[in-house]
Amino acid sequence: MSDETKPTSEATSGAVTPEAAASQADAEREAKIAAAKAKAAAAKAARTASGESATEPTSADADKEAKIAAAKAKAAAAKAAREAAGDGGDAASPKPAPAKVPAKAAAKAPAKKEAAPAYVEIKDDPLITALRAAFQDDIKEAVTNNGQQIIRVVPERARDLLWYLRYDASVQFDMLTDVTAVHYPDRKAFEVVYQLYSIAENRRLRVKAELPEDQSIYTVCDIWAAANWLEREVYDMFGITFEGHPDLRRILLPEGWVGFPLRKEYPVEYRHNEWVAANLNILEIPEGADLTGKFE
Amino acid sequence: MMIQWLWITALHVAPKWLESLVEQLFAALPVWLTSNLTPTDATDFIVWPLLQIGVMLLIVLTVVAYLTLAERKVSAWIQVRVGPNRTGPLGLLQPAADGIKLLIKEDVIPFKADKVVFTLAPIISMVCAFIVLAVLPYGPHYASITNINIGLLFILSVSSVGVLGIILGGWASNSKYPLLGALRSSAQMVSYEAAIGLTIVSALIFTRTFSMQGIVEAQRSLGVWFILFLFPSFIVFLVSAVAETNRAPFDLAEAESELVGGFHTEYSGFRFSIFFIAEYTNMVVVSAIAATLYLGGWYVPGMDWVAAQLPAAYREAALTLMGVTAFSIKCGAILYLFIWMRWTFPRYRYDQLMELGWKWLMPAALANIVLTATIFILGKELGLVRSVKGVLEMAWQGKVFFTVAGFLSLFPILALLNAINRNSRSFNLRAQRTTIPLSTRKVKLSPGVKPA
Amino acid sequence: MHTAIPLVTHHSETLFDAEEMVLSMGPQHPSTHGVLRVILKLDGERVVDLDCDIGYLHRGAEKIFENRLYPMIAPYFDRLDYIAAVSNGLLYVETVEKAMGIEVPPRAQYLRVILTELNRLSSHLLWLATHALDIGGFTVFLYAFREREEILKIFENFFGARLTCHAFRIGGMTYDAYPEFEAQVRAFCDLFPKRLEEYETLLNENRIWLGRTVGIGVISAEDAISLGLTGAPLRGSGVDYDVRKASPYECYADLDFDIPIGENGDTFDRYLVRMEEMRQSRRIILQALDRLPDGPVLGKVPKVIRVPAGEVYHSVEGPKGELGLYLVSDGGTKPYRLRMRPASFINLAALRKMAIGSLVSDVVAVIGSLDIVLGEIDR
Repeated sequence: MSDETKPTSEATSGAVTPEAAASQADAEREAKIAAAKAKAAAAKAARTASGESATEPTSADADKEAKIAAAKAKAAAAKAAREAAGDGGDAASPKPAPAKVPAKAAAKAPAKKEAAPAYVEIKDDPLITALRAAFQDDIKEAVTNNGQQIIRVVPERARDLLWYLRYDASVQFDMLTDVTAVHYPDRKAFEVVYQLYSIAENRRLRVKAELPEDQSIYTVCDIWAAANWLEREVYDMFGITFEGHPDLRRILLPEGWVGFPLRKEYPVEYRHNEWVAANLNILEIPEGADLTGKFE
Repeated sequence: MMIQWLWITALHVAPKWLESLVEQLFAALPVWLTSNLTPTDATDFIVWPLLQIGVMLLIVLTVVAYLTLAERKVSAWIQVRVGPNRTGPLGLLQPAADGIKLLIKEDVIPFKADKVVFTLAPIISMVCAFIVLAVLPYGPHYASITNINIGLLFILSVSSVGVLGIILGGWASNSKYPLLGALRSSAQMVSYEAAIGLTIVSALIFTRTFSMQGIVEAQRSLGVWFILFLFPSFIVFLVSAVAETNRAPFDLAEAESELVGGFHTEYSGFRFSIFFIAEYTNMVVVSAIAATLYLGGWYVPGMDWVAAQLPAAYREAALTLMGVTAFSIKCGAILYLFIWMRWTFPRYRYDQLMELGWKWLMPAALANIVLTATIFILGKELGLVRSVKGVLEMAWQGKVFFTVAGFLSLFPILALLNAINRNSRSFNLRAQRTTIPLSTRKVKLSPGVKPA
Repeated sequence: MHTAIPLVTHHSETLFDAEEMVLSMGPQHPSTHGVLRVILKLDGERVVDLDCDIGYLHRGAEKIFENRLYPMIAPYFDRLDYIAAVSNGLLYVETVEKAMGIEVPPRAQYLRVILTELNRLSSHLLWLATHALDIGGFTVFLYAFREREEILKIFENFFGARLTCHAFRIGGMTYDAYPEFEAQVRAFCDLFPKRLEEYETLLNENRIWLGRTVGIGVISAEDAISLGLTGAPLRGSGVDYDVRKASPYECYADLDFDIPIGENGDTFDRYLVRMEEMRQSRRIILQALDRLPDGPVLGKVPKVIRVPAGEVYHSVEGPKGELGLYLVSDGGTKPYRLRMRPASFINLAALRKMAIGSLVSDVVAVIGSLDIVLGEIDR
């Protein structure tokens, strides 16, 4: 990731540095985040207003070369396009935030006592307050569940948030414990989940980014080396593309495998017979057999 | 003169009954076959040596077979196990079972292997290991097949060729692990052959001969074993010998946990067992050389006195019997040491092996030559030793002097090694901690957890 | 399965026409601890590049979890890290208990701790055995197996199984300890320090062992944290992190034990850390035995296990590192998503960093010191 191109504008009106005694690097980072965010918001607003479809915004923004900003704008454009096409049918209001229970589960267990899960908004936590100040609306919510803190962030800013948590936040999360994903087919989305841990503060934090199925997310390989294999596994199991990953190959499944097993539509007993016959040489193929296996 | 005599004893000892047997045989054979030979010559140079070789091969093969059993039993003993005990009483038929198993296994030659060389390699290994057996002094008189006057050089050169079998086998397999094993083996051979050769030079100062029987006779005439005079040389020889036989902790060529099987990864069945036999035969050979050079071979102080007590008719037979027994015990002790080492030490790494060879053993061997030569000349100038027709003679003062000097020469050698290796990264690994600190951090506990 | 590294590359800057050799170590290899395949690019014997090929033992465990009822999932965990089945089982039942808010009776907690620590001992003994074997010390292998056998006998009495031990239920234990349990564990704990000294006599002062482990596979504390290493590989680099101390589960908060910390981050320090951990485990076991309370071993558990909607991440300190479990529930009787954080998987990712530039023999030593188990990596 070559996001080291420093933004030149120091006019960071909105960005409030959480720690007052921020170093020069901190200030620069804040500036960059604020600038990028403002730009993305502007692009999004413009696109929604004009109702144009997914065209590359060749706007004459000053720091177009900042890769992260470009991708963000593109993602925003895609989102806008979807909204314009009237695709908001199933998720009418854009994702009511704490509605964790998928429709399937709700249908299956309707007579449950506790209707609302115990997601409690975090109020008085200096770290979360600082994060909210720095990322504004990009943090969708910060809640606790089972006593564990969860931050939901828009996928475009996930990398920025994680970078911030790793290097700039008051509690520096120096260890990436896990990266995984959860598939929500009814929302046509994945939740990419980052489990963070700070050794010095002995504190855990979970960062979640809800990612539409057709969208990719930025890698955090260069922030934590641990992400390399973990992201490969997420790619292998869910088919989520991590942009900027140095070596995004399948890791547990062989190259050429069809499908992504941990997606909900992938049946448990599915076997891609063509691959097995071609590579393992252990399958006797009856005449006229379906070699591709069956998705339901 | 003594060497001349030994020559004659070694070759012209065929008993009379054998000669008469050959004479009867000649009568039965066609004339064109026997016309150029006298029965005596044929007996002495063909029939008797062949008989000896046959007996010797039989004995050595049995010994090698039981050496594998011994290895397994000793290792079991070291590792608090039982070891093989199902095949025959105490597992004594285990070697036979192993041999049969290997014989009837499928003999695989890899598809892409160089078939000729692949077949040839184990044969080279085994032949070289067996040829050496011809010049070993198992005992006085009858108990030695031949006694050539360059016996020690012969052994060194032939065993060098033996390593060729390993290299060729590794190369001909056309596979990567064997290739790495062969490469390691060749490097190891070059390094440790040199160390062995040099350390033997210091022994030669006292033996005055290359003949294996001559070396034993030299110790017999002095009444001491050369290990007393040549202690540093013995240590160097022993370490190099383990490396030379490719045994742990120097078994890099077949390092099981790294190279799967090393040079014999692709070998199976009987070809593999031939390599196996060659390895164990080499062990016997190397221990025999060590016993001959440093531990007096078949000679034990006092055996001549015991023989002299017996009637003259039995004297020679008793001497032979005692000699062979003593030789076997000495070889067995060294073999046991090899086995013991193997099951105690982890394996050296390739570069550490080279370092040990070139930075420890080579300087030690070279320094030892200089020191031994100096000591010898000093002793000669002091009149403690003199050479009579190629044989050393010395009184007890001389023996004490050389023994003390031999052990003392360990210290300058160690000082030299220290000077050479002091700056090496791996010199003082012992200074590493062998205990480690415990955590003193006070961890902030999660809410709801009560502290201890 | 895939060849990421070209088979042969020429590099012209060397004096001779040198070719790099690609050596495929595994999946059938004596010292890759299972079906790990390491593709080595070698310059002579020096490792230029390295790639791990895993997945030969992939069973789709996480997919299976999503289609099983909660009580049915537990036995699958014993098959993940089959060397440390008890720790894995503990991880699962604790996670579900945490999500459901079930209280575990104290006796069950202490029994769980005793069994988990015994399992840690057996896992560490197996590590010691194979690590020593990789470096060529065959005798240590069998010595360690001798003691492991004692533990497995206790396990067999307790669980009815030696390898895939399983007696933890959601809410406690299935059954109480058998009558001679305490005496047998105590007998083992009396014997164990002497045996540990025996291993250390063979290894700690051994010049060859030191030569093969000191300064091999060094990883700095920063790198170790960044790579997400946990367990002995992390502590060997001097980072003080142990889940048992950081967020104590079961009754670990009541027990007094220490966490050994290395300094150099090399194979030798990892070795020392694990050896000391064994001593500490014994301490924990003895303390837990002393305090073992009476009472029931199974708490109040609903007939049908139904985890309330929500999510929970729980971790325990397994023998190989931090075992984490992330449970997302939709309120049903099956988990919506159950993700295991495999300690070995993440530790193995550090192999590349540790082994490049070393010799083939060191790769073997480093794999041994990472203490991986492929059942857990591939899941």
